[in-house]
Amino acid sequence: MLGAMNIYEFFATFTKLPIRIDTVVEQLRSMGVVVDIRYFEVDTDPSLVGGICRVYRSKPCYSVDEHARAEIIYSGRLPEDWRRVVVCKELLHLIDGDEEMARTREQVDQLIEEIVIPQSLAKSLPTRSDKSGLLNALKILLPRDALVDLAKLHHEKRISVHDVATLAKIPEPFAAFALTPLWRRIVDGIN
Amino acid sequence: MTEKERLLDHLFVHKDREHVNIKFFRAASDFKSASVEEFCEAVNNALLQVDSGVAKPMSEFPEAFTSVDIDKIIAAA
Repeated sequence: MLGAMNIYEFFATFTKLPIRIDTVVEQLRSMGVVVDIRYFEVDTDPSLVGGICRVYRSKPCYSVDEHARAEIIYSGRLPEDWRRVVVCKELLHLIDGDEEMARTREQVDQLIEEIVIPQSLAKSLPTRSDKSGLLNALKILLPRDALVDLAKLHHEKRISVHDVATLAKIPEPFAAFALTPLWRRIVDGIN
Repeated sequence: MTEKERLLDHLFVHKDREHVNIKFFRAASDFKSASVEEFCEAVNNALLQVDSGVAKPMSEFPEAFTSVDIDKIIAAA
């Protein structure tokens, strides 16, 4: 993922919660993402399709310029906190490197075959499917420095996991995971 | 024509568009298994909603809240 460490470093020092999706977009723009971004809420079963990031170039007949468009599509059946995580995850695909993209017909075919593999099995397989994408979104929506303070409050039993999820507007299982020593080691790797 | 062929054709047989990248997210994929055809049918349906105009484009992701500094949260806890 091109520039991914830069975006995680940028958000690591944030201490205002919740992080707005528009702020993520602003940072992507500052990193050179120039595509026109459009969001679409669709009616889909999120257990089949919760989110899609589709990027294409087009040249309308009335224009001489090529136009790059990113469509961030999410299921309207997802709760608000899940929508934020899914949309953030999909936005991060705008900085995918060439090796991470599903650009050719064969690569999309492979991605489709892999996406139906259960997550527990996919972890042990070298796939193009980005099962870690949600955790990358978590690095942004619950930044390291804010998490340090929230973890201290949680350790002192002054706030609950539910409080952390509410403050960051993320799903509760993500807040619970973010408070584990394993996650702390992951975010400590963000310099 | 299978749903997968329909999806791939939709992405790649477009005379005025050049496909660059696509990624998907499935919620709780460990709890509900899906075949390739079921998955592709759902993706085709989502893209139909987008391309037909049933789903309206938004230039900003709708969020209505105020962000608060962690110091205020600490003081209130």
